[in-house]
Amino acid sequence: MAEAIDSGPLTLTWSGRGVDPARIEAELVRLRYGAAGYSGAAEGAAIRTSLLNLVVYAANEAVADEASETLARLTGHHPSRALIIIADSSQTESRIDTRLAAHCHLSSGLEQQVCCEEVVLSVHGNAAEHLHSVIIPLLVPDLPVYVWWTGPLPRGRHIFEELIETSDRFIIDSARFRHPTHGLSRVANLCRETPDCAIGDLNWARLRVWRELLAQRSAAQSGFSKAIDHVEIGYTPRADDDFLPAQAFLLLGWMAGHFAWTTDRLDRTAGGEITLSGRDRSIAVRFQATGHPSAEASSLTNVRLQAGGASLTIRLSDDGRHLLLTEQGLERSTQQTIAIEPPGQGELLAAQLDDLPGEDTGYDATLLAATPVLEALDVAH
Amino acid sequence: MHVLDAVQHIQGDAVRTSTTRGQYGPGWVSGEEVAGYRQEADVAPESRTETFVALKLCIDTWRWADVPFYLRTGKRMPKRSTEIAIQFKRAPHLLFRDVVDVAALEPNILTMRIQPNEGISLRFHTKVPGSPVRIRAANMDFLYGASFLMQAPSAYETLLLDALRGDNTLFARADEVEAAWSIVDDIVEGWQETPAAEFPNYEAGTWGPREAEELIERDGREWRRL
Repeated sequence: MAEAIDSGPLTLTWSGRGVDPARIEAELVRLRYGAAGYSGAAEGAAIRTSLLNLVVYAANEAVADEASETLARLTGHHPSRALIIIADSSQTESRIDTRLAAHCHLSSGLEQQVCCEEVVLSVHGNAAEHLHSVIIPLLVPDLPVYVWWTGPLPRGRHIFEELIETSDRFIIDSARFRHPTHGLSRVANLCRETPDCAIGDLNWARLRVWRELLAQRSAAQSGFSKAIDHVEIGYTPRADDDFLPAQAFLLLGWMAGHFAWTTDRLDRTAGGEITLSGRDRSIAVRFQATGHPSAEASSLTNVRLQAGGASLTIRLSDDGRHLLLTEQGLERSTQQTIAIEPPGQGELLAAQLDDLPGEDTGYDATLLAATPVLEALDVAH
Repeated sequence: MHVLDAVQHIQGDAVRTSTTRGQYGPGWVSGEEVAGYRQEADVAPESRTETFVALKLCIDTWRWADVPFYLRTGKRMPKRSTEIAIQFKRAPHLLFRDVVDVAALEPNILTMRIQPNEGISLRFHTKVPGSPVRIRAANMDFLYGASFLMQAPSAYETLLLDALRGDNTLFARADEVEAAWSIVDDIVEGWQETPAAEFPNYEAGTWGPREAEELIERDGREWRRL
């Protein structure tokens, strides 16, 4: 076994190849000893404060490094023990390579404190099929376990389901799904089958500003939301396929819940529209692929709600930094420009970590409302 | 001795309701595949030896009335850890009861970690900074060794020195050992009268058989996540 010890003023690290997992906890303790030494207080209380365990599943080293950089920015607000797992079951040798880091922050009392312990585990061979046995011993007791699945959903079920079983909150990014309808349907099934497992989605968080604007503005004109009869959702297509993006489904699912539309009775027209049922009317929904100079593929570019002669349109500006709101309507016609700051991965993840394990974010209900739409459109594809 | 004498002995039907036993089968521990107990060297293939026990004890004293003591120990569990955890009752008056889901709040826990890494940790709930009232659990962990930056003597060093000094504070007296075993003997006797469920009944690398969960869930509680 080869190992190297390195230490910096604020981050202490250790790494080893072929490490017995039982040793990892001992090495983390050694890092805490080291952090206590840096505080300069010979008999200072070396207290570690933690809010959560975060397990990150990374497909490869590059993704793990990216996740590590994201986590390093969050440690001050989300003190945690983070386990970044790279599982490679293709190798014949069963081996666990480990990198540890203790990120220390100066507290106001000028004593240093370990805010975040990061454990990067490269699990090779058969052990990669039994991650549960590697992860459980390394969790901080009594704290919730958040799992961040960084990539597309896997074809196999074993590792994915093992991690879901371990988690109190499971965080995905549906923007990374190869096949959004399949992926979201699978997640919806998980919500139904695992009621205790709360699901978070970074892509759902990306829609927050769209949802808030639609809710605010549709409520501002009396009678508008109850009269909506046409919806258009525009998005940027991916270069290599014509799948509808997850954001479009999530927004429609959210609208169905928010405006009390029924999605369990829907029709699909020859023109590619689908029709949902409102209380006393039908709502025609059209998805439209559009080009956009700055928006990332699979993201929303515009939404238009029409209620008879009135309409509410939100469009992403060409620079991607503003939403252009146009209301033509029953009572007035207005135009408004709202500055937005597209959130980075760190901000999106931080928002998910802020959500408590059992907290209702509306995502589960949105997914369940979107499921019939997913199924109807999946058949078409 | 006072406490041991006050422990309610588990006898008769209470053995079935207040204890559970187990034996591990094959499984995975720390990324390694391990054999079941009956496949271990020098173990009979039909062995009925227990490798796990969970039980509930009560103490008949004024101080500990209505405070259940749940014990769980076993081999081939996910991690090696010896801890005493005190789970606090919910306060009768919760400050944020009108704005947070009180039922979702887990109890506060004070844990004394015996080994490894001696220390104390406290899990409690705290308000998240900011205007919305949101409560979340935080864990404050005191690591004994990291606080004094000096090597603590090993357990045997301490005991040998105490023996030389004639200090018997850390030694169990004969009557204390006998009192402790008399509690265990009653349970073993009860087990002998009622054959165990199918062994093995838990997979190596798990926290024991399902019956252990049921034992504590009957009281509306659950084992801590260690």
